Amino acid sequence: MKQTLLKVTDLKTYFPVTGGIFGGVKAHVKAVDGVSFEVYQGETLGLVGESGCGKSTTGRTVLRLIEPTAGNITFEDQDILKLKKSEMVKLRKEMQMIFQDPYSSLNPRKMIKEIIGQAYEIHAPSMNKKEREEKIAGLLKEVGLNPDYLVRYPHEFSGGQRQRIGIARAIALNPKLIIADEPVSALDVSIQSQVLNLMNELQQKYGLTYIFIAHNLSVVRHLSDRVGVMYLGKIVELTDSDSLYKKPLHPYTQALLSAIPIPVVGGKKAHVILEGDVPSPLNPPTGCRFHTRCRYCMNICKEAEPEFKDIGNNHFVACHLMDK
Amino acid sequence: MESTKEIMVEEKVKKSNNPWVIAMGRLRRDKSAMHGLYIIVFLTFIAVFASFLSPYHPINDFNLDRAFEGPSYQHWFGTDWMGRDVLSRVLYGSRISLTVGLASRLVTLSIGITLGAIAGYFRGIPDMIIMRIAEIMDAFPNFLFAIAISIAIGPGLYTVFFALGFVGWSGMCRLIRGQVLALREMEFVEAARSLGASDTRIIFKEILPNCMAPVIISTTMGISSAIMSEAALSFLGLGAQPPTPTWGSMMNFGRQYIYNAPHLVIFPGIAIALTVYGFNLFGDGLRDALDPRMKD
Repeated sequence: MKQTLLKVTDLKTYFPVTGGIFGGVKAHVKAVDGVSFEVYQGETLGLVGESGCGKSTTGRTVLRLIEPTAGNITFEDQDILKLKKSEMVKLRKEMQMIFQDPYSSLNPRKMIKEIIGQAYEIHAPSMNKKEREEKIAGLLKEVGLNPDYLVRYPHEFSGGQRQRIGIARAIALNPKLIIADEPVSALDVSIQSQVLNLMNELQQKYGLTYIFIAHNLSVVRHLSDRVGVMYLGKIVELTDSDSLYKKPLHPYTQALLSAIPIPVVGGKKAHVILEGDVPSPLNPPTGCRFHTRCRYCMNICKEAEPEFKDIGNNHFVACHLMDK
Repeated sequence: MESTKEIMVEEKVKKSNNPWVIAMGRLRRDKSAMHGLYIIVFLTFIAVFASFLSPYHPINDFNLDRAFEGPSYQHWFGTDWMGRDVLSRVLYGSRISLTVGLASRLVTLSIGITLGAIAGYFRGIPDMIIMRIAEIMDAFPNFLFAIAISIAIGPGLYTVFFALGFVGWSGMCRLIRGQVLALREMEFVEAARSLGASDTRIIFKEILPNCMAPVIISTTMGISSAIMSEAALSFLGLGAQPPTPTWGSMMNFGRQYIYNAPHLVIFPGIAIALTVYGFNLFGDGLRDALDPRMKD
């Protein structure tokens, strides 16, 4: 049986909107609104959705870079939301992040050895300088960079190289879970596959578990074992990637998947065109959040929120159509 | 191609890998910055050895028979209303003027950076309190406020350091706060946080090094205005007390005789201009040298 590494239950992250002369809280942006999922040891869970659906916020909340409003996050049977600050620092070794923008994720004033070495300064302060530099050089080799680069500054590297440095920083402490927040979306297509392959290799080698956040469905398919589809702060469908791509059940997933271009000359398929815009997360629609744009919308969809449930084979869907 | 690249890397590594050494090397190749540095070194030399360099005593060697003389062989910069040697007074004046310029900036920097970093990084209530105080500060005319502080503490040179430094903190604070607000949202700060870095560590190692450029510029610019303000405070009797020579007070007193004896204003004026010029040149070069993104 697969072992659960991370369990997220009913996670909610709201951002207050302040205004008025007294700066009072006027409303909440419900960026993540009741998300539940499990991540198994050694797998890759993809999180997809259009921009603003809360996928990055979910990733950052799991790392407690953003404090959640409600919910539970259990990592290896530890409730991380109950941890004290010092205990959380220790746990950070186990969970790391790869960032989206390789141009802003590396401090321009630090050399590569300082950027990666920071991990050891915090978590292994007793390590001497030579030992540390050897380790960093080893890491650079691991991610396919010249170990001599450790005395260089970030601006001397290309986007792909910078992202490799970001990956080296993330694996420096041998974490168990890595949250990759759109790690290749800022890169050239030709570089994307190299970085993805690198992530794949590292996963094999170290038994890493990934939460892979992306909006590029093809990239997610290439890498993920299971995929969760998010819409307006909720997961609407979650299953293994084969069944999701072959037999999407939620109308939103169907629309998303129909938008993937087919790399065949003259290849055609039926497009499901969504009408209108994503509603504001300030004031999400009642009932099913997707009902304003769903072509199967029924009366019940406007009133009752569909339950996110297993319809067999670990295929979770939140849609009233499944009840019929 | 690949091999030349490797060789280049090799050379770079050999050259140095200490960021300070790299920065100093870059500074040494920057001609205008070096000129600035020469000027600063020259002025410091004068300030330290003023007593050996001066042909006369700046205060005691007065001779009312020879007041208001223009530049001559005996008195290169001429004499003032009491027949004192202007050259000697300018040389001695460098001591106080330079110290006031640097010390008051130091006060501004330490208050401004601390409060600005706290306000920008923690936001919320600390930000609110600090910025409201800064706004109150700004509501007073700076100079009036400096006078008030000087009177409250009591006149003297240290008072001048503090008063002139203190009135500048709100501007520095606002500068730093703005930078910190922008930088704290950068992904590298988030990366540091996800590694478990403490707030202090993030502020000092990640954020502040990235705010240096405007700080260096505003500090070197501020040195000149501090030298001038010291003059005004001295004029009001709140700074260095006459007959102690400072460039500012020499200009201030000399102003009354500007038509008959312009050299009383011209020479200390040149000294101030030279100082400002030197610090600005050097500050400019320093900013570039400390930025690793600049090309070698």
